[in-house]
Amino acid sequence: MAVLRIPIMYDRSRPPYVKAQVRWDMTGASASVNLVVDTGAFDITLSMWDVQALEVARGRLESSQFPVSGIGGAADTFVMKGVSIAFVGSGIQDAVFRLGDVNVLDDSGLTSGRGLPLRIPSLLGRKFMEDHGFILHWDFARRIAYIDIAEPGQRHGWRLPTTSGPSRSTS
Amino acid sequence: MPRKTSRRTMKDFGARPFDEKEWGMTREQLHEKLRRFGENTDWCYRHEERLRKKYPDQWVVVENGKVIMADADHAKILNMLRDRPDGIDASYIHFISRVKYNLIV
Repeated sequence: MAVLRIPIMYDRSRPPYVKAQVRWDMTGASASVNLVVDTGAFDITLSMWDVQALEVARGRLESSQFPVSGIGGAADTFVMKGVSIAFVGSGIQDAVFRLGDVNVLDDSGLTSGRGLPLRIPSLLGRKFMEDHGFILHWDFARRIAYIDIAEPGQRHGWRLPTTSGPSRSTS
Repeated sequence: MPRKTSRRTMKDFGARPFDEKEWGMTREQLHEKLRRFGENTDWCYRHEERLRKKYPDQWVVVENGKVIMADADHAKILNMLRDRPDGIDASYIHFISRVKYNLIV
């Protein structure tokens, strides 16, 4: 049994996402956000739209030295320092992760003046999941997906399979 | 044959317990807030085609199975929400594009 199992909201009408509460340590303000689970994204990124709900003015964020690009083009990128993120499990469990720098994507420049306005979502990317021991379970046929943060150990703590040897899919 | 395992603790992965004082809410309130936020998100996606006709290229705020605010100006929406006693709370704020598009990320 997993200690913390985070359900991924997953059906055909929308990209798969998890719910989280994000907090900016500088002001203490927090807001609920949906993070699209995106193993192709290099790291967790927040959309400027979600960040503005945290009472963060764009002028208070530093421009990133490393712009972020995707299939649709490059977006203005900012760095937000001192962010905490809380996930709740399918039971009564929860866990909080404190992040150092988080990239914030501003898609207003990307989409302005185009025929199709769109909104880039916040993303739960690869590095964050690697660093925090996330294990992704995905059953595409049944459209069931969830994240286990870790598994319980034999006596205390949690255990994870070692990286030696071939891994087996659990879904 | 049992799998070889390495014992890792939650702390090893950087997880911390939820600090109610720091977050200004109890764990129960956190869970309840995200539960309601999820319901509002679900409702919005289920009714998106209808909302697309009514609120093209606008931000909508969904709460308890209805749109309580809509405007093309995101900042205006946030200001109106912050003026409420409950603030943004578990509201779901979503941009309704006039054209349906598929997201590739």
